[in-house]
Amino acid sequence: MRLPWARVLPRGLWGGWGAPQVARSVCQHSRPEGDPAGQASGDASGDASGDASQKASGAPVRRGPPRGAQGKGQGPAAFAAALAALEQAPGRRVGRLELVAAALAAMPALGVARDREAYHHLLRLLPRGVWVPRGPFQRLLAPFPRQQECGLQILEQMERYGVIPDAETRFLLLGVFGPHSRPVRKCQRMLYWLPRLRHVDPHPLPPSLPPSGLATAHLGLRRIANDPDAHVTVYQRPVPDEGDDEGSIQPYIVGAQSPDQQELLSQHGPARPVFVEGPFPLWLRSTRLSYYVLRGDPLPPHLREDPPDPERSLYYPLHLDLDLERGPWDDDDFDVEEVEEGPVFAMCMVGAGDRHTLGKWIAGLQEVNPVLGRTPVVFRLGDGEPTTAGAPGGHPVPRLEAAPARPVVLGPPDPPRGHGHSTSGDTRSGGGPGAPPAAPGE
Amino acid sequence: MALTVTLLNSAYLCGRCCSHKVLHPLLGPLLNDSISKLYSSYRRPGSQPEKKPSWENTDFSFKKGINVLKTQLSMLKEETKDYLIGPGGYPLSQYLLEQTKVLWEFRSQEDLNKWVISSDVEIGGKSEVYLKLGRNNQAALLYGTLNTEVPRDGETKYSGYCSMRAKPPVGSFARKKYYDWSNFNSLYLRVRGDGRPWMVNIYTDPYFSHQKDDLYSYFMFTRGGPYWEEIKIPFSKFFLSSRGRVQDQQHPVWLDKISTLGFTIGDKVDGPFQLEIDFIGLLNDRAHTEEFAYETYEKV
Repeated sequence: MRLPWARVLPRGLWGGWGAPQVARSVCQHSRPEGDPAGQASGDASGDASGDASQKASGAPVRRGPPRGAQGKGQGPAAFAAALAALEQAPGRRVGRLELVAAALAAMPALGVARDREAYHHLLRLLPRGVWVPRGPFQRLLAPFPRQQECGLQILEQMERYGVIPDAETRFLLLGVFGPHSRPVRKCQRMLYWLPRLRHVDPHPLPPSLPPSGLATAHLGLRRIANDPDAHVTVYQRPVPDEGDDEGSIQPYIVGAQSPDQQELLSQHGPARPVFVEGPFPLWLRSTRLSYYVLRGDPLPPHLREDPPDPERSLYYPLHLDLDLERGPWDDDDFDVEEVEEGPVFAMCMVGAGDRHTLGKWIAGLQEVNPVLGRTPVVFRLGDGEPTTAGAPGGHPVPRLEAAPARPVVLGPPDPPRGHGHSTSGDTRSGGGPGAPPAAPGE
Repeated sequence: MALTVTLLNSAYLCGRCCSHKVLHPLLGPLLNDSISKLYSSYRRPGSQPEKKPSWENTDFSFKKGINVLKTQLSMLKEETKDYLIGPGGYPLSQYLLEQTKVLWEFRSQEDLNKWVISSDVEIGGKSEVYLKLGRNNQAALLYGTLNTEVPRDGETKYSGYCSMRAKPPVGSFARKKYYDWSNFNSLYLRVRGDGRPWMVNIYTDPYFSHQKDDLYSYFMFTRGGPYWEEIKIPFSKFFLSSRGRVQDQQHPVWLDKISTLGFTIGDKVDGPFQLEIDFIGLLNDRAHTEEFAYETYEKV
């Protein structure tokens, strides 16, 4: 295209003539609010490129913007269509680097940031063989620095989103940059490290999490239950189905209790209260859930039973603690005082964390643990919530066993008449037996 | 030409990596007992240059000098006594036979004072981090909020990290001391997290200054929930990285010259985090026979 007057236009990010029309349309499509300055990456030089491309819009359109692609919506199809329109456009292919920068910036918004094929598409747009240095002397002089940085940017974005390159990526990079270039080196490193660090998580999550709500709560509870025998029960389904907001008509209640926890609860004894504490945070990748815990306080030292005397029975041991995987020569105990915490009896996740809903959970638990009917239940809510304020002192702290802010004593719940029956959540001052919460060390 | 740290730790992908700042004691801070800065500290563009020369910060009063001298001499006396008892202050039989060792436990405020917390505020970010004792003074709670908003200084591309590092061991007269962990092969952590992944970093404070950014790192994945987790990380899994870039030439961490241990979170997710740590110890796991998890040959 002969546009001699276009040479006086300000240069873009990579020394080219600013991002071409196609790149701008790709970006505008992904940013409907029409951010004029945010075309390339978030640094200042990206702004300069954006401004340059705005000024270059005065030039006649060198290739038609892919109007057809804009209406297709997000996803790999839209991205592929936008890039395909560029490939079909006539004329010299200039502004490749700006295009790549703009496309990389637009990928998260289009939803293709974790799609390896999208990166392959992008790599196929780069010219093959032109940027390969010829001979060792040219290689010595650090050839095509900006172009190699562009390739590195693509790989760095792949790494940031956890996309593992494969043989085809390496093949494309070899064709574009040559065998001893920085992008190919980086690709080799990624091919070495990423596959072996991919499976390093001892508690892996499924690759795609269900949408937030009942299903995620299920997953979270099974994760924290620490027991494959735990029973996860849905006490109340949400109405509407995807409602886990405060404003939904009926929040979901999912609870988990394992047989060990049931046994502990039955041994706990109705004279001492149990506490419902929460909400505590649980992160599943980038989703934050909150769970509540039913626990009791540890026994004070003078009430604890001594372990059974081994001489009571000389024929067989009363208490067996065999660790058959290790021999008697291994001593794996640490010389530190153990953290004393009360036993955990059950856990739950609810759509709305108020006493009413939690009371329903307790009522549901009571069907399996009848001792709950006689035990006072104290609600210690809002203590686990971390604050956003600054100073570390003088605000509710995210601890698992925080001091009760305003303990609400709830008398023993009424015998339930089925699910959905709510216990009375009224505050009764000086309520049931064992009203003041027994909290040692406060 | 280095590789960026994978998947989880975008913290180091900022323009300048400062998360390994180690406290090199200079002679001056003997007298004013403050955390000293590096002899070659980096100044962010846009921040004010330091106008006061460093010698003006020190307090040259005689009385204070005498007190400091007394403290240092008593420390020297303790060290001599420990040396006479055995290596590391423990009797030789204990040193030879021990299989577990508790390094840091969190039962009082002075245990917390052995740690330093930092976040990306030092590069202009907005994450917050706090450290305090948990309930009944039984564990330490590291909590805060991660904010991945990038500081607008034109050169930083990623942000959002918080970290907690142990202060390096200091002998009398501000001499550098090292931990000797060569009897053990695993790090043992009793923690209770909220499901977010952390990174454990070991700094060995090497002799050569061009290795001063070397850090040995590995991941610590927390499960979340109300139960304590016992995480064992063998030292053979720690990989070498420098300024946030995993190095090509890998070697196992040298356990006899350890300076600090640190925990970092930088998993690119905005939001609050919390981690309760009961204690940190060492374990000699006789069943773990791996020497090093990564290839040590030169990668062409």
